[in-house]
Amino acid sequence: MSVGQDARLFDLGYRAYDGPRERPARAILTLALFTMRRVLGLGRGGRHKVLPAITLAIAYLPALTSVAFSVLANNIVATDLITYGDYMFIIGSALALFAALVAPEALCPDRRSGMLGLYLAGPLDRNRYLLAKGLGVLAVMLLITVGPLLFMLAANVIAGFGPSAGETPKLLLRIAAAGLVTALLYTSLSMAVSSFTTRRAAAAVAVVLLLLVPASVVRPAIDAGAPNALDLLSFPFVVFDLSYRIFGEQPGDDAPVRELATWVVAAGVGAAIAAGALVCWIRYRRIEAFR
Amino acid sequence: MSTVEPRVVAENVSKWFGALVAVSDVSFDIGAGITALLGPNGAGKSTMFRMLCGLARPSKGTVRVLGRDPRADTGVTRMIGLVPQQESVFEPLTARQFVALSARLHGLGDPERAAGAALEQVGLDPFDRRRLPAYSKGMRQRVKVAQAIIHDPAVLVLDEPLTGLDPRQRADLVVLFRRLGSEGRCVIVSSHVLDEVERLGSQVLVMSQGRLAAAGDFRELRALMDDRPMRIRVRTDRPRELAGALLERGTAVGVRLDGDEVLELDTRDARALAHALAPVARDRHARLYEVNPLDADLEGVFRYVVQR
Amino acid sequence: MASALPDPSQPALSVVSARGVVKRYGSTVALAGLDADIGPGITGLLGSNGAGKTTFISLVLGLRSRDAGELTVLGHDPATAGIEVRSRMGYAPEHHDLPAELAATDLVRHLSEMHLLPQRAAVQRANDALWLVGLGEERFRPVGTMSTGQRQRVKLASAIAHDPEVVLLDEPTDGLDPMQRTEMLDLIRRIGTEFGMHIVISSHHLEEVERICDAVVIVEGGEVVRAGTLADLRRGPAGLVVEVDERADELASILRARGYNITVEGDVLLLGGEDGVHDAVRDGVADLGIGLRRLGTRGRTLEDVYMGGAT
Repeated sequence: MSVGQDARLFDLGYRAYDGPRERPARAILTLALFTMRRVLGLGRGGRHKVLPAITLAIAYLPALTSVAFSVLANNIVATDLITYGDYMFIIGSALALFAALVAPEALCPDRRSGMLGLYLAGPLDRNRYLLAKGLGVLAVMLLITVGPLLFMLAANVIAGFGPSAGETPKLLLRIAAAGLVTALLYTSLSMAVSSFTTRRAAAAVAVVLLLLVPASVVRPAIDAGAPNALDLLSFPFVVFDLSYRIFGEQPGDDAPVRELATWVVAAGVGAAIAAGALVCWIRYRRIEAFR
Repeated sequence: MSTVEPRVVAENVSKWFGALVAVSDVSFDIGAGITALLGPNGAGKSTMFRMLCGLARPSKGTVRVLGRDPRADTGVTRMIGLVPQQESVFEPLTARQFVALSARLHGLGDPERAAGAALEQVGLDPFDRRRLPAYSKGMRQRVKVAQAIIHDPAVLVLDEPLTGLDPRQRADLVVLFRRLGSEGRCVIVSSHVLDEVERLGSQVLVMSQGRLAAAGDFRELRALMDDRPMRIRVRTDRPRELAGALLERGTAVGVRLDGDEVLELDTRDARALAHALAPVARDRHARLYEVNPLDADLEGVFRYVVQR
Repeated sequence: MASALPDPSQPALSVVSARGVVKRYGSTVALAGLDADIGPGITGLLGSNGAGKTTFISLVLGLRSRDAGELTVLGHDPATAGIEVRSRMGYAPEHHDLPAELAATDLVRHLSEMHLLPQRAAVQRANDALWLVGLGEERFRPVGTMSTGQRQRVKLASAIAHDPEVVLLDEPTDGLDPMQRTEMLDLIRRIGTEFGMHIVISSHHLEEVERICDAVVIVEGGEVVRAGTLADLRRGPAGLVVEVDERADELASILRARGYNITVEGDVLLLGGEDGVHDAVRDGVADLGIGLRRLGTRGRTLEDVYMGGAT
């Protein structure tokens, strides 16, 4: 409107909301996305992006280097490149570090700050809350498991060792499976640990310990005569081994888990994932969120 | 308790934390009875309180409780009873045990008997076997008070003492505090809830921006707010006649008519107006239904004082 | 703008309806058979800390399960339809714990989205809500840097931003100084009367409840001891209150001599409202030459109701 027409006073009072509202299940997605953004440091100050960025960089480095190598080098032999199966094993430390960052950041502050109570006072219950958080953490972990594997695929294709048209769907499926199962294990274990404390730092340390200590205890025990099946407790190495098996490769060393049948290993990893989720669920049922 | 009236005196007290001045040149002299210490958040009340209890030292100036420095002279703290705002950590003791503990800390002989007496004073049963965590908040509040008065202190400092209580519990404690004040103790109360403060008495100290903004009986303070005339609302069957007469005499300096029966009169001399109303109304055959000073309650005074 | 007044042709809406609600924590009985009906408008849930108000709120929100009794909130049972109930409500808890790093606008926007507002609407309404509660430029600051007064306002903004049907406020004036208290109460009153939201305020401050509520539910020992609209509860014989500046006893004697029934408390006289009492008071005051500070009818206050005990 142009000045000079009739003067009007606009009402700045309250406006009711008559528009559409989302369905309650939408809250799960909203929270999952919010969690993903927070743990990656998006929408927060620069310093919150540093650790996630560094860890991601470390995880992608071998893949990106492989891509560069494929592009630049001549006379590459297939064995020059890192295999898919090897990859998870190689970036094991980055995976552990990332898991120690992500789950504590996703779970601990909410309990510390009373935010959990505010969430539960909305169209969420504890199960949905955990589902949303789990999805958020899992999605972020997939970034660091499936992502680099896809880059390795690119490296192979560029170097001329890519799969044939017939093999591609199968390979992609394997990449997805390996990436997913690895991400699931890390998500489940790190969330379980994070459900025990409201302090992020303590949870982070505990996650790292959980990923180091069992293996370092179990393996000597097996050397001393304990049954090989005990090696199923050597996370994360069990899932790395599963990764090798998914890709039909032979790992370089002779860890005790090699002796076990594939279905046993798969069941063991599945059990670990379920156990972590169960522990987390039980802890959250008991937490007094309403004050 | 001694027969000398207890006094709490602050002289040019200032307190700063680095560049932040919390209290700036505050002086007052509080005697027996109940005095309320009021002020907006951040006005320096809590800091002032802490200095009165000897928990902090003034950066400048002096605080004297019963003539002594509460920070330096630990003896005087035995004459101060403090009911703090925070919820204490209550051990699983009975009320009597808990209060007796306080008695022992004060070095009283026969702590059990003293505890029983103090509990009775606050209206609790000394023989109740229940442990403190089972007590309601109102009862716990009273236990805190019992603990604070067990050594018969001359000075009692209460920080938000009525929080969380329902009106019945609150009324009981108000009666208790008024009694403690009238017994010659110096009772200093800090509170944000003016309705409750008004029931305790009319002596106030108002702090604002670290300084003392007002001191004294709040009703008298209202009369001092002379750049704002007092407004009195009157409901009568002959408003115009009454208004005209009062304006003529100069007792009212402004008038607003609201409907057929209501007048709002502005005056610079509330006392004169109060004395003139009845005789003038009678003279003009006006019936008085309502006389109501607007803005003269504690809240009105408070708002004026802190907004200056 | 839609009118917030209830439509007289419609039956009164029940916001919360409770019958015989029981809740125990171990051997402690927090609610001992609570009956209440909370209707439209602003209702105060009045009682001391520990009386059962917060427990009742947790049941209304479906955050805890009750041990016995019936409870209906906006037509649903929160124990079975908790998600549905909570999506239509706003809640400001008593505690002040909020995520310290989040800016106020981010917090309010996020919670609005979590209450099922579409993204763009959430941004806009969070903005509006924060202005409404009086947080101008402070809205961009992290909540951790905010004072108690500002936090209370942030909590209020998050409770109303998604335009819920019912807003539950638990001790909304806790920690506020007298001026902030008045502002908050006025704001709540505005929200309750102009914006079409039903409000339930849980508080132990009787004067505050009296000031802004239309109805009150008084809770004590896990039960409702009195309830009703303020107008109904305060109905009762009106008396006359007279406050003079001196010689109250003499005035009382004069009035007694004329046959009126008087009680004296300090400078204040209380009389029944019989005929001719106004003129008798006026003349008595004029004859004595004392100052008339206050005169008025005194209906029952909520405090009288409260102290009168359960019916």
